[in-house]
Formats: sequence, structure tokens, C-alpha cells
Amino acid sequence: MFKNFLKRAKARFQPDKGLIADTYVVEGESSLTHDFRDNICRLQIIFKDCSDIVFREFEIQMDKQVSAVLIYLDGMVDRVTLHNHVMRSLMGISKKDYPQELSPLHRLNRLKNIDIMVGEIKEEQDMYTLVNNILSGEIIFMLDDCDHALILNGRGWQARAINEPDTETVVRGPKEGFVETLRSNTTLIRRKIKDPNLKLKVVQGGKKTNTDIAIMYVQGICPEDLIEEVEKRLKTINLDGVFESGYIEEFIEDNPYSPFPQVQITERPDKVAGNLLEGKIAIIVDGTPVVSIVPATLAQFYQSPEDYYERTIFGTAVRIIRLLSFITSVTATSLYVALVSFHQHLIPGEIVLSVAETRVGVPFPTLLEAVFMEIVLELVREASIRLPGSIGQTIGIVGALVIGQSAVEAKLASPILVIIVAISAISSYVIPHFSTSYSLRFMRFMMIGAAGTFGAYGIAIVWIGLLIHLCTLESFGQPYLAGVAPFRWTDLKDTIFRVPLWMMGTRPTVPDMKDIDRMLGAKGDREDDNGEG
Amino acid sequence: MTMVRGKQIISTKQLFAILFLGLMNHGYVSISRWITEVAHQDAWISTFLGGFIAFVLLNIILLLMKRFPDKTFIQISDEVLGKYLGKIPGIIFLIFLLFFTALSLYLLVSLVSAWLLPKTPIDVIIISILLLQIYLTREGIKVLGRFQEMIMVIVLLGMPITFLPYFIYQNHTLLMPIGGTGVVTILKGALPAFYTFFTFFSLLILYPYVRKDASHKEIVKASNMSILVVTILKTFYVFGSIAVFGEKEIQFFLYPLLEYVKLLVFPVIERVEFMMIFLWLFMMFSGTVTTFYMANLTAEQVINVEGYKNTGLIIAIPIYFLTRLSQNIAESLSLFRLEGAVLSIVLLATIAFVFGLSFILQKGGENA
Repeated sequence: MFKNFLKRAKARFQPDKGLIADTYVVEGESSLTHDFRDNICRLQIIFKDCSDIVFREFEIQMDKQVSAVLIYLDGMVDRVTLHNHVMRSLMGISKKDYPQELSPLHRLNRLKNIDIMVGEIKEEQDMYTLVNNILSGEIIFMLDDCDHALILNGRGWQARAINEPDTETVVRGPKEGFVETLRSNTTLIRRKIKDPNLKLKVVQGGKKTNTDIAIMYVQGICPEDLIEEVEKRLKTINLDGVFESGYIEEFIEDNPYSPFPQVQITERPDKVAGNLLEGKIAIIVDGTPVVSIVPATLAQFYQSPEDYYERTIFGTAVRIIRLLSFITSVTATSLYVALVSFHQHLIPGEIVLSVAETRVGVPFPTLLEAVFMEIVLELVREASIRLPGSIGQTIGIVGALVIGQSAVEAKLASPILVIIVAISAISSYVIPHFSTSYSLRFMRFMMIGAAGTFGAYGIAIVWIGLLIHLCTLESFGQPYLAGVAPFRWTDLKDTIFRVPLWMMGTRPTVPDMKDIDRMLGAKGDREDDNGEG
Repeated sequence: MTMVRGKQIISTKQLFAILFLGLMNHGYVSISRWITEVAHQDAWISTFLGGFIAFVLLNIILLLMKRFPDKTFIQISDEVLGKYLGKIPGIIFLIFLLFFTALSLYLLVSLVSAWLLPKTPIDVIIISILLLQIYLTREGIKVLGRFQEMIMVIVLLGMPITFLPYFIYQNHTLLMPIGGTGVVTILKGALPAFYTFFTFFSLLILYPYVRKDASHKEIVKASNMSILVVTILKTFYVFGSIAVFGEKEIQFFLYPLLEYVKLLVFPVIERVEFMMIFLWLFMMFSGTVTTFYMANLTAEQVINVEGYKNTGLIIAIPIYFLTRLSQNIAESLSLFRLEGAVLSIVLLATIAFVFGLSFILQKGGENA
């Protein structure tokens, strides 16, 4: 037992990060040597059984004939750059260009500064960094008798074209969405905010995947402590692999057990840009089109970029409809259960008769009837999401018409309940943010259970519990219900209401930022700087 | 992930919401009956006077608290009376809050039991509410403030409906002769009316948490505004109920405000009073949770464990048993009067003693 403890303790303090493929290549500790063959040999051992890694050796006619090697990952390198810019410029070198004898490092510097026609070149000595760069799609160039290598930017791979995101379609507004490539995504945002204050920091996540995670924010608007907090939280991610933004969300959320998301996600660059201008931070993970925005407030999940593109009156109307749909989605079915099971005397005279008539022959109590219908609906919904478009639609029709109608005819459910369940299901999809509909569906079952047990009182206590829970939630230290609780008049202009853009003179109060003025411009405004200068 | 918790501060808007809901809650549905029983058709004058007494006392408390901007009453008595003797005022205040919370809880539970869940054991209702209160108190005063702000919006949305029956059915002859019961009767009626404003005592605990973020002047403004609004509203409800039913008829109703709202009939919504009960549940819960939280915080400060998350669980036990003391609403009414009379005298004397001593010993204020 003691041995086992020692073994665990040793493993705990072992600096495992940085060791590559059981070799002695450790981050910051393994450098290239002057022995060209030894360097290649070490890399070949690291990339043993990796047939997609190419080691292209050749000779360059410099002051003397010098051996060189290009190492890259096939499929992640742009072939045009490799052939036309790297190989051509290296092989086109002739002895007459190098009349004097040079040291190995001088040769490398000359190649870097004069001969190689690539936009971005870095010099590197650390073996660990070189390996990571090869895996990220860079081209590594090494020269004989030189303990430095060049990292040539030649990244290029097959990527999905920029399309409108399926989950966030708009009638009016840009039709472009993020893709799986980090650089394309950051470019999409840069194109929206052409300001040097838009900052981009990249950190690595995942011990094995070494996924690039970019943090974007507008300096001067985004609070410094928020940036520090985001960086601090991202550093706590201790996973072996990060494949999607969902992997990091659970690590950085304030309350991961809450059914409500505390990180806003989007596939739309315009939404990210709008949020960056409100002092928020975008977290972009390489390999996913989903960008996370922090901190998040509940009101944001009920907003769509289209609210700002349409006329103010419609923007406000749509927001009120979404708010009502939130209440309907959670409460409609449970209210029916409470009324039929506990408070029949509250149903108006004409309606109570038709409700009673439709329930004749239904053998289950209303609670079970409602739960049965909701479960059927959930099954149909899950099945239609996972299936391809046309089959998914068919399943939807089968679910809605066949199962609904059959259930009524078989006296398993009353037609009024089918209508109410359908209304609550539609209401949950009015919300633009898909993840939030999961929260609503979860809450609905709780609400139905409480209504079936305690009637209207049950609905009230679940709502009270829900409101308390929402009040306890915070996203990166900012209140989740910002604008309403704590209540701020100035925030109402862009929460429940959407006032005309010319009235939005100030930014929202969450996060707590210095540069609150949206229209006059303050710190960091280039026009102001020019004016003063 | 570690939570980044902000400071435990409440804003003046939140203070307004806490006081508004707390003051409104106590006797909200029954106040007309309680006061007309004593002051007959002049009950509305008594209600106004009761509110005025509370208004005066609230301002005295604010003046006294100004001397100790960063301390609650419990911490002040610790400073003035010393480590051990200083606990006694805290314990008296705690007992007051426990009784007061239990009584508010009973009024809420009996309303739910009578109108919504007649067959459900009352213990189930008490425990369900206590569990929610424990959940809220675990999260600190910041969450209490936010919650009350949310509820105030909900309550204010439904409030205009309660004004309608007066405008439709009022008969001012039922209020005549104004002042006919005599000054003494009106003053007698002012006492039970004053008891319904007891929540203003929570300022003894809340003050330092608001003071961190606001000036004394802003706190005075928010507190006075809340008590004035509630006084006007309560006076209106008593006035309106008498104008609609008359003082004799009100005595037949257990919950006069419900009967008053019941007069309204809208198309489809035939039973408006049930819709209102649903809204009032939120308000009454908010009112009781304020005193529950005060009791929780007082207990924590008395035993020096402020910030301990499970104090609410311990506090809930005596509150449960105290709630079960009343067997019916009539008993709870007698308890209410007894508690009001005894505890208000004891508590006021304690507050006067502690602050009086602080003046004599030159503690607080500039010397603090």
C-alpha cells in the first residue's frame, strides 16, 4: 500500500507535460545541436510510424554545397507555398550569390532575410516547439551544421466554406458563419472590427491535442480583471484533449451543475463583434465553428442579431414574445395539469365541459398523461435532430400527426393536452439560443411534477426556486440577471426592450467597464487621438 | 470552477424592494379585518397612523445607525456592552425575529391551505417553504437583494388590479362619520396597524450592507420612500375595503382583500382572486424570507459564524415548531397581538438601551 502511495506521489510530481512520444524531448530543455544528422534522427524517432510526416532532404549551392531538410506534415501544408515559394527559392540559389565563406548561422540568417519568399519566418532552437509547429502545419527548415531551424508559415489545408450557420439563421443580416479553422474565424471578426485595440491572445489547451484557444477582446472596453480571470480559468484546463468549446465551458463556468448556460455560444461573427464592443470576451477554439462569449447574462440568450437589424418597434415586440414564450414553455403544460387536477373550479364554465368531455375514457391521471406526451415529444425531437434533414422532417410529421392523433384516438391523451404540449414545445424553440431550450425542457418536467403534486402552489414554489437559482448564478463574477436583478434603468434599453440605436449612448453595465460611452468615443479612439495630436 | 464572488452588498433599490415587500407582506390580505375590529369605520385613519409611527421609529433607527455605518445592531451591542453581555440584545432580537417569521409563515401557509391545498397536510407546505428559504439564505444577502428586486417587479405588475373594485363598487357613506369612533379608538387601532410594519426593524441588520455602496442620505430616501408607499397602499386597501363592504361585513371575512378582489369578473378569468393569490404567494414568500434571513444573520453574528452556509437549516427548526404553535388563524391573530405588544416593547427598550449606552460611553460616530 505504501509502495502504491509512493508510486502515485511520484507520478503526481512527474513533469509529464512536455515529454513527447517517450523521448527526452522536454519543453524548454531540448535544443537542436550542430550535428545535422543527429537532429534529423531525433525527429525521425519522435515521428516514427507517422507516415504523413515528410522529411525532404536536398542540397543548396551556397558558398559551398550545404545539406538541408524541410520537414512538414503532409495535408496540413499549402502545396503552392511549399513548391513555389519555399522549394523554388531554396533551389534557385547559386554559388555566385554567396561569394564569401559564411558561418552556418550566417547562412541561415541570409536565407531567412533574403532568399526565402515566405511571409512569416521564425527562428527556433527548442526541439519541443519545433515538433509542435510541425504538427500545427508549419514547415521546418534545418541546415547542416546549424543548431537553429527556421519555422516557415505554410499552413494550408482543406477547410469548409463559410456558410450561414444552420442553428442561427436570420432573414436580414450577414449570412456568414464561423468554420472549423481558427485563423478564418479570427479573420471574420477582424473584418467586423477594424481597430488595433481588438486584441488576440492564443493559449494552448489539451495536453495531447495542443489545441489553440484564442481570446479576443477590445482593449479599453473590456475590463482588465475580466481578461485576467478568463486567462486564469483557461489555464486550469487539465484535459488531454480539447475538441470543442463545450470541453472548456465546463471548466470555466461558475456553476457547472446549473441547468442554465453561463457561457454564450454563437456561430455568427456579427454577434461576436457586437458582444466584443460591449466589453465581453470571445473564446475561439480551433477545430470548432462555435465561439464562446463571456460573461453571459440571461437576457442575451433571448436576443438575436436580427433584433438590431429590424426596426426598433419590431425588435422590442419580438423580445417580449420571446419572454412570454419562456414563461409559456415552462408553465403551459403544468398549468393545465394543475387546473385539471386541483383547481377545476377556476376553469370557465364553457371550457370545463369540453375539457371534461375530451378526458372521458382517458385512463391515466392528468399528471401521467402530460408526462407521457412530453416524453413522446422529447423522443420525436431527439430522433429528428439526429437524422438527416428529409428523414428528420418525416419523423417530425410522424410524431406530430400520427402519434398525436393516434394517442388521442386510442384514448391515451386528451386533444387539449396535445395542443398544450405542442404550444409549449413551439415556445421553447422561439428562443434563438439552442442550449437554453435544454434548460427549459428540463424545467418543464420539474414544473409538471410539482403541478401534479401541489397544483398551482407547486408551480409557484418551483418558480420561486427557479428565480432564487437564477439570482444565485453569476458568469465570471457578473450577475446572470444583470439589468433586472440588480435592476438598472440604463440596462433596460437593451434587455427587455430594444430602443433605437441612437438612444443606446452607453454600453451595458455588465461587465463593469471603464469606457461606458458608446457614441462619443473615449480612450483608444483613433480619431480622438488624431484630433489631439 | 471556483466562483468569483462579489462583495456582500445591496443597493438602495434592493433595500427599497426588501422593505417594500416585507412591510406589505405582513397582514396584507387581512389588515382590514384586524384594524376594523378595533377602529371600525375609522380603521383607515388608524392604519395611516400606524404607518406614521413606524415612519418616525424608522427614522430614529436610521439616525442611530448613522453613528455605526459599518456595523449591524448585533455588532454594535457587542461593542457597547462587551463580548458576553453584548450577546443579550442580539438574542432578544433573534427571538423577536423567530416569532415574527413563524407568524408570517403561518399566515402564508394558512392562506395556501385554505384556498389552494385544503387536503394537504400543513406541515408539507411549511417544510416546502422553509426549504426554499434555506436555499436562499445559503447564498447571502446579495442574492436576497436580487431576488426581492425581481419579485417586486412581479408584484407591481399585478397591483393595479387591486385598485379596481374600489373604483367600481365604492360607497363612501360606509366610511361615515369620519372620525366618529373617537380619537382614543383610532389610537387603539393604530397599535395593531403599527405591528404590521414591524419589518422596518430589519434596517438594524441591513444598514451596513447598504452603506458600503450608498450614502446615508440615499438610504434614508429609499427607506422613507418604501414606508410611505406601503403606508399609502395599506391605508388605501383598508379604506377601499370599508368603502366597498362596510366595517361590519368585513368582520365576516377571514381574508378581506381576497373577497374585495373577488368582486372583479373578467371574461374567461372568472376567479380573479385565484390569479391574485398566485401573485401574492411570491410577495408573501419574499416578506417571510426577509425576516428569515434577518434571523439567520442575527444568529450567525450572535455566535460569530457569519458566512456559515447551514445556519438557515438550524434556524428553520425553531421556526417550524413556532409556526405549528397556532392551530388556526384566530389563534395566530391573538399571538400576533401578544407578540406585537410584548416584543415591540422589549425590543424598543433594548434598542434604546444599547444606543443610549453608546451615547453615554461615547462610542460610535466620530469616536468610532
